Amino acid sequence: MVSDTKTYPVGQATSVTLEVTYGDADPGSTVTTWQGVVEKVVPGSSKSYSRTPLRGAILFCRSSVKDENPTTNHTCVTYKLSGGPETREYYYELTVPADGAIADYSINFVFV
Amino acid sequence: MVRIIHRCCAPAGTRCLLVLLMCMLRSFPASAQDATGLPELNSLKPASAPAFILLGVAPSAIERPQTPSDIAFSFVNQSQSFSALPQNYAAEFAPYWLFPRPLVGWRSDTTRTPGESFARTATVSLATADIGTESAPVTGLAIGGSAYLLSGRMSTAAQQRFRQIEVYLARRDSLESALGAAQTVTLQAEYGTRIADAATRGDTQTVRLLSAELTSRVDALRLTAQQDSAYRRFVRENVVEEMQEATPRREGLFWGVAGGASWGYANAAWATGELRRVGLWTTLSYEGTPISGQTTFTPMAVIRLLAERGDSASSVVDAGGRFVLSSPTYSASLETVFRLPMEDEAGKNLYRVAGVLEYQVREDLWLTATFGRDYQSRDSGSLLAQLGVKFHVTEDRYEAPSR
Repeated sequence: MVSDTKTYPVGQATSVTLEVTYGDADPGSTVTTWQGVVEKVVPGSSKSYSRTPLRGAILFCRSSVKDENPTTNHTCVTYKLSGGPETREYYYELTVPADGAIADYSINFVFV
Repeated sequence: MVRIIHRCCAPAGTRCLLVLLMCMLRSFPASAQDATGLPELNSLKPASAPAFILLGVAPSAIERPQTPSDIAFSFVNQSQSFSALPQNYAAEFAPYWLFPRPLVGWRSDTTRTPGESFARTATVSLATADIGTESAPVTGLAIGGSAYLLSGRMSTAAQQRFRQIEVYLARRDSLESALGAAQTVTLQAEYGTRIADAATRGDTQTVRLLSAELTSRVDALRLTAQQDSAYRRFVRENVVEEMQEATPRREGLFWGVAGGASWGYANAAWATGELRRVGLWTTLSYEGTPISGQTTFTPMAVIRLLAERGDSASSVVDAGGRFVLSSPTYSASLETVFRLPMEDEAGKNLYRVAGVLEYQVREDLWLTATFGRDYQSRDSGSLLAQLGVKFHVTEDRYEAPSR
């Protein structure tokens, strides 16, 4: 599993938007936990998270990618956060040991 | 002669059956061996690894490097740090997929432009093998490439399967996250403001330390959730195996091109190297939706040039077609090839017609039957009549050009 914690500057914003993309032509999914509530991020769409103040809040992301590309066992996920002073992308990758395996990602974003 | 295709050791009972079949069928005339030494029956499939075909090898172990460093490591390792040509080495890789493709999601890969198709399906194959004799050793080296300029579109069924995978992953991860959701509120209270304050102060070291601590706590939370009986039951009861069998099947028009060349080095001396064989293939096929149940019909046309240096009699241009009716338990195919020898003295009216039937007797055993005529109809053995068995067929009987 790839696990990490990153900070995302939010300034005075009270809402941020998350968009998750999966590369290498593999299917993937992301579930977030925000203020104790679990929600799914629909592939191909974005999801907004609000709180006042936003600073100090943590967005817990749990992503999985199933390696379905027969040509490579490499998987990757890109988290794109916007709503703060600048939009940032966070890229993660993992090569699974066998075709069809599931790559797990656990990424936390602390809004600062 | 009976052509028997082994894929692995047969169990004792199967060996008995094999011996019995050989005894029963030894009166069948042998098929003529192709003058080029190239694969005969079922040969009209796309040349996915031209290097292996041109070298006339069927390597049991093929290295498939997945990153540029894998390629470097593989070659350095096999060539004894570039001091010698790798011996009996076979590798195949897809240049496009050697690098991460974060912007290529499966939804954007359902259709492809010819350029995208070429890039995403291109493969390079390399092989070395001993092709001489004990008294006159020759090291063979071959390199080839193949790609599809047209590779159809992702089938509706495959798209549906991918969506099901997404739903499964989301349900699994929702369950895991829900089991630890309450604790995340505590973690936020414990770390959120402290990390934010440290970041505001510009105290990167504290941010790093607290972030690592938070990561570790969340990992522990997820591991605990994965031990929960509800989570384990969900994973156990949902059929992951079926999803693992899923491969992106594409359908529509496929246009493949392939080519390669092989060289021979007597006594493994560089100076003795000479071009031995060149091959070019182009194939056009249509992969459609099943005509009924899981039965598919696949028409295919191919033109191939096979040239041997110093042996023009073996240099030919073949043009042919093949129809394949295939299901999980049987397949029937008919192929016709017209051969145009490059040498004037070679026989005229060269064509070959062969029908192949395959039937699954049991899970790991297939019976095959072939009937037809070979190119030189007056030659002994030009009547193609073969029966055989295949054990543990792990690869597709018809290699669908699906990537």
